[in-house]
Amino acid sequence: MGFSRAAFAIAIAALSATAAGPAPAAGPDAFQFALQNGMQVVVIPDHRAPVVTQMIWFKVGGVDDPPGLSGLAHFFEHMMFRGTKQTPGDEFSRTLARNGGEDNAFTTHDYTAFFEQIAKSRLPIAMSLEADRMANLDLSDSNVTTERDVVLEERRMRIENDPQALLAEQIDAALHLSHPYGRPVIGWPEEVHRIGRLEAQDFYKHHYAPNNAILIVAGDVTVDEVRNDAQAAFGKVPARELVPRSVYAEPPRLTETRLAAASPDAKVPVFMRVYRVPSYAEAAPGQAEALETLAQLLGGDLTGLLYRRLVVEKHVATNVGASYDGYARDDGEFQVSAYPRPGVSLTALEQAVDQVIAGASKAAPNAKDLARAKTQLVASATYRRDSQFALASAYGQALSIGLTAFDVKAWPDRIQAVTAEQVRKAASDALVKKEAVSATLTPATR
Amino acid sequence: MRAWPLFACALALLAPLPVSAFGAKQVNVAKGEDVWFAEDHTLPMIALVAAFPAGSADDPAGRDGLASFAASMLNEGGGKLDSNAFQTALADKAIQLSVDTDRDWMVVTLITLSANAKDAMHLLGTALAHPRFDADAVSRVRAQMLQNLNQLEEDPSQVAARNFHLVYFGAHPYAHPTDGDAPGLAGIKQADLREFAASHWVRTGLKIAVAGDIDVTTLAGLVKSTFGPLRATQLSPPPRSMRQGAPGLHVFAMDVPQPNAVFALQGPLRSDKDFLSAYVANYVLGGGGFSSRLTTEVREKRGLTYDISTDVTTLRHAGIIEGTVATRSNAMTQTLAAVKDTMAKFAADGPTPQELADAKTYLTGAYPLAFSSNAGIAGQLSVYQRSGLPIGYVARRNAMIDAVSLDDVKRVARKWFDPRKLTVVVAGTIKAK
Repeated sequence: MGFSRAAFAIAIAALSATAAGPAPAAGPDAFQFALQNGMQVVVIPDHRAPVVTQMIWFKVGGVDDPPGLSGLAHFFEHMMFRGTKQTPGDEFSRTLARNGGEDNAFTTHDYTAFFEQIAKSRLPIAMSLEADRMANLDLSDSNVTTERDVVLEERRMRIENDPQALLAEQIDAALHLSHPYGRPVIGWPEEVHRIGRLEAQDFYKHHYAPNNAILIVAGDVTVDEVRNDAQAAFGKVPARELVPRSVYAEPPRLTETRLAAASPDAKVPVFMRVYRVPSYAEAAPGQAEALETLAQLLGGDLTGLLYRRLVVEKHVATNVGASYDGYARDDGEFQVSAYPRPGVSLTALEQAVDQVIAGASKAAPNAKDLARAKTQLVASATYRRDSQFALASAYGQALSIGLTAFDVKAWPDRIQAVTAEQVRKAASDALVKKEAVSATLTPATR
Repeated sequence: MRAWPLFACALALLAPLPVSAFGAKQVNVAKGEDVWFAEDHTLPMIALVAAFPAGSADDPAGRDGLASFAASMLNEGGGKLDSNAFQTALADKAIQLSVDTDRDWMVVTLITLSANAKDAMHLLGTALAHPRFDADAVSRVRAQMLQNLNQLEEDPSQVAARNFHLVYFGAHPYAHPTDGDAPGLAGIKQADLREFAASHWVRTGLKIAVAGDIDVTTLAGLVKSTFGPLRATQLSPPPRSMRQGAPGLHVFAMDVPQPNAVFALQGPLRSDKDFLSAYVANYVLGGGGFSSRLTTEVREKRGLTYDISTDVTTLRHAGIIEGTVATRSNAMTQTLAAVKDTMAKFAADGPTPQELADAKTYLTGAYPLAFSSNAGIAGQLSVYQRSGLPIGYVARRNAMIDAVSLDDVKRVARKWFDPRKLTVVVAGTIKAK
């Protein structure tokens, strides 16, 4: 199951399903360059079909919401579809659709991404539309109230209608003592209500500029084509002075936080634990890859240790999951979840989870299990190459948090290099309860 | 009953047919009645979609969920391999085997590195032809399915979708949820699963679509060794005639912040000559994402919802024009009224010439997007196979969209998009303003 903190768009669901990590060393290359205004560009040629995926990643997200205005970055993502003088109203999406294109966007704590998928011959149209709204967004006539209502409906759909999502939101709030990763990307409703046109305009001025953006083009293109087209469309957008991003420290936690929620909306009990762990951006060499491998070993699939012990052998759970969310500028998260079999208490279930985790911290995985986990992770990079969107996302995500295209390319080799002892040490160092929130959700009568 | 055509003349049937005619170059689709193949060696991987006519409409009375239960056992072993051994064998080679059951079909998807194609196909063949249905695996999967049923009671979109089918199809086998209900699942025995697999996981009616890094000869051999051992049987008789739709509002009470609605009308079958015209009409009304009339009216102008869309769904024996929308409790009445007004205007006047032109350039221009990955190609080809279309449709489809006239769309808008006939199912509570 997913309770990724970064789940506020249709697109990100597809991303997290395949987001074990970026691309393999084999196969077509990615190329990187920069425009003079500071815009970074990555080109990933894939000539199988005459289509392209364009993504523009801005290094701004929920973390940059001003105090008291949580949700502004995400709200602003919506406003980017509200038109310019040249492309007024909803003509942005209409123009793309008329040209056979699809478009959408998503926001996380660390970045905001906009994307178009379209026939190769129409790429210049998609570029010129993006360049136009990067520089010339016109919010003067737009109805902020209506879009706020849309966002509040989005929040009801993604969070408030779902007891597990509500709990996950509170887990994040409890896990991060000081860092804005503890605030929901979609915002607290009371604060979303306070967002107005002025706040949106300020946000645009401070964060939306070519020198804060990464352009990724994957598909039936050459590097020269993209360089020419990007220069023509984006090259004329002037760089802006950016407001420096705040740097947040997160103090060490003194002790585990425990949440026990009972909800009449919940129909099944569940146990969730989220650890604050090093991200790819913070980790020592090999550490994040070891955490990735550990997540695969514990809960990557039906051969995972948690599934084998808890579901198959002990019959205490119906389902389990483990995942590492390491693509963050600051701390990453390691998530474990388990559903008890009917008649099994959440306490007994948690003890069984703890036994497996303690075992992984004490003993290194056996060679066969480790090889299997690595094989699957490396293959996932090949499978990801099958999708322009997934591969472009891997690069965008990595570059947005300060990694390089080389990191993306080297990822499979780095996974291959993970040793059994590194995995054990990753578990022992990172899966410590004082850096975790443990939560239970229990059905309650109304 | 139609004979299994593949083995007699596999190579002839698999002669490659370039699909550059519709715009996706460097992809070859091979022609066969039951095996469609798009060869591409760019990536060292293969995607295969095998669809068996073994959907929930085939569940026996009192055994709701049997087709889905049996399908969920597909990765729980076969032959000499128990669950553990089978799942380990898949994982050791990073073979991804997944299965989805709808009302008409069991759809099996296999993703593998091309180097492991033989192992992947062998494991799939073993699971299909020699399923084990071991007691502990059956008990485990049953517990998972029952828990899933409980959990989806949390989600008004799921509750609305399940109840919509019950309301809309009444006594027809399309009515019950594809993943069954608690009494049905509780009553299913190992023998039921065995019998269902033996009678439904068969060659007859099987559709196979493959894309990726394999050659025709090797594929033909693997298809033969994987699916050849399955039996050929008589297909089950077509479901009973049905009454479609129950016009009016049906509310299933739930205390949630945002009720969800399904609104639907009878639509054309996939084989109906009106289908593509209705498909284009639907794009204008509710299928066109940010450009559709419903999104403009309900989301952009009124801020009533995050997401509203409609789709033309075709089951083997029923067509449905089916929409979904979610809004706060005290805005549902206003939202449904806006949906009906928008639809009534569309039924009366049809699209404008500009809307029709825009719909066509989108639908034809976006068509190659579906063919940009091996997984996408295999999935799209499988959809066409299940719809009973010939492989030549891949190349002809855009010309057929372009041939739809304004009069066609106006006619189908009048004929099919009548808001007075809407069946509306709401999960949640509707409150006054």
